[in-house]
Amino acid sequence: MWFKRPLFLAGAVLFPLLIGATAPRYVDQLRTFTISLSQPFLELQNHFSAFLDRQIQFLAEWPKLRMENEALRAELQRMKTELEASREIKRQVSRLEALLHLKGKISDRSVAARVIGRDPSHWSRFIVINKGSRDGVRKNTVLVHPDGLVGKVVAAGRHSARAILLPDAESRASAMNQRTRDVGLIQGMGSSRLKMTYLDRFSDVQVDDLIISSGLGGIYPKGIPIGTVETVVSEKNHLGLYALVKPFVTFSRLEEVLCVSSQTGG
Amino acid sequence: MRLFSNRRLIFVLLGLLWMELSLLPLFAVGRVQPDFFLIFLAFYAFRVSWKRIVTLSFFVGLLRDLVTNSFFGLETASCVGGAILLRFLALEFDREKRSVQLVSLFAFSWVTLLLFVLFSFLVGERYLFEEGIFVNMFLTVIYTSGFGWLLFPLLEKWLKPALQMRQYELF
Repeated sequence: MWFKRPLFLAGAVLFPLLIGATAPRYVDQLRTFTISLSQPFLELQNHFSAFLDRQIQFLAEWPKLRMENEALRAELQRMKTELEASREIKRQVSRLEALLHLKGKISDRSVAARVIGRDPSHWSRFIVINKGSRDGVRKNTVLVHPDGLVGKVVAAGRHSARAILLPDAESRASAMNQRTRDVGLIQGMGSSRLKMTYLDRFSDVQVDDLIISSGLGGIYPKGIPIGTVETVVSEKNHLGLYALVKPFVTFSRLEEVLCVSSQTGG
Repeated sequence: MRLFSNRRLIFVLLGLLWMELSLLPLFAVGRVQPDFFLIFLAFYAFRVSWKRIVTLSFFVGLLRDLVTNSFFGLETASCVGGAILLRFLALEFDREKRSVQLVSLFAFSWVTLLLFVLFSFLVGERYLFEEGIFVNMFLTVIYTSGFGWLLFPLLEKWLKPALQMRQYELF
């Protein structure tokens, strides 16, 4: 029996080699068959392996990606800021062009000013502009906007001035219905609407009529648009009418104004 | 066939096959790769059954022959040759000692790879003349032994119910 084991071992070693040497064609077929059997698993393994490779690569690149991401975020933020700044400049140019156009239409001496401050109070409507007496802006200098009348200066410093807006309750301006030529007084109500009072009870004021400055009173130039009539109401004493006027100017968004000085002799 | 006294062993073998086919490049350092089958065979000889290690090596070698592209029979012959040494080591030394297991894995891997090169030289596949083949083999053996050091405790943990009782020949 002692020889059985070495023979068995020699057979185990040599038999596959003999097959490999004598029947390579069958070996190839056998291998092809084995591969075809294991192909689905190999594909699955391949996917898994590729997945792991990607994850490892991702992990290896993680610090670099993070830095790159931060740099790109910073760059994006800078670009956004620049884009916003250029948009702002575009809007500003558009507004200034409108002001320039308005300036061309107004024969009086005028100077453009930027709104640099607003009244924080809930009840009054004042603004501060960046032009003062050095630029010819004085008390009662009229402020206009491409959309319409804004208000007037109530106090002027050397480099800035404080102006009252039409919606302020203390504001008064002589106005006229462009269609009927009825004259009245525009006064602020502290809200977004203006009140045109002292209208004749027989006047033909209608909704959507255009209200302009009348030029009476010696402060506001004649013909500057103020707004359109929204409502016509009879006074309580029935002696006259008043109209609620929707101003053309959006006072809360004023950024630039034109200061017109002829009426003040500035 | 009582090669696999526990189903977990089959799963481990399949897992190793899967690792060998798919995950091996992930563990490769240059051209040096660990040999998971050799680790499994050494573990089997020391912790499962030294008696059946030659038979198991024969089938593992055959399996490798079927999935590789080298001369058919080389893997089987080298595995069986190495398994004879492994069987001897497992029989003669304390199989519980981790140091004995790892030294045996080292020797088994070394002999198996040497036999592979030798047989391939005999059948005409002249790996012997490949540049740096012995350095590569040595590094592979070292790497495989290193992996064995990591995998043996894990395999023991997973296969605890499948393992036989303490070695009785030495007592």
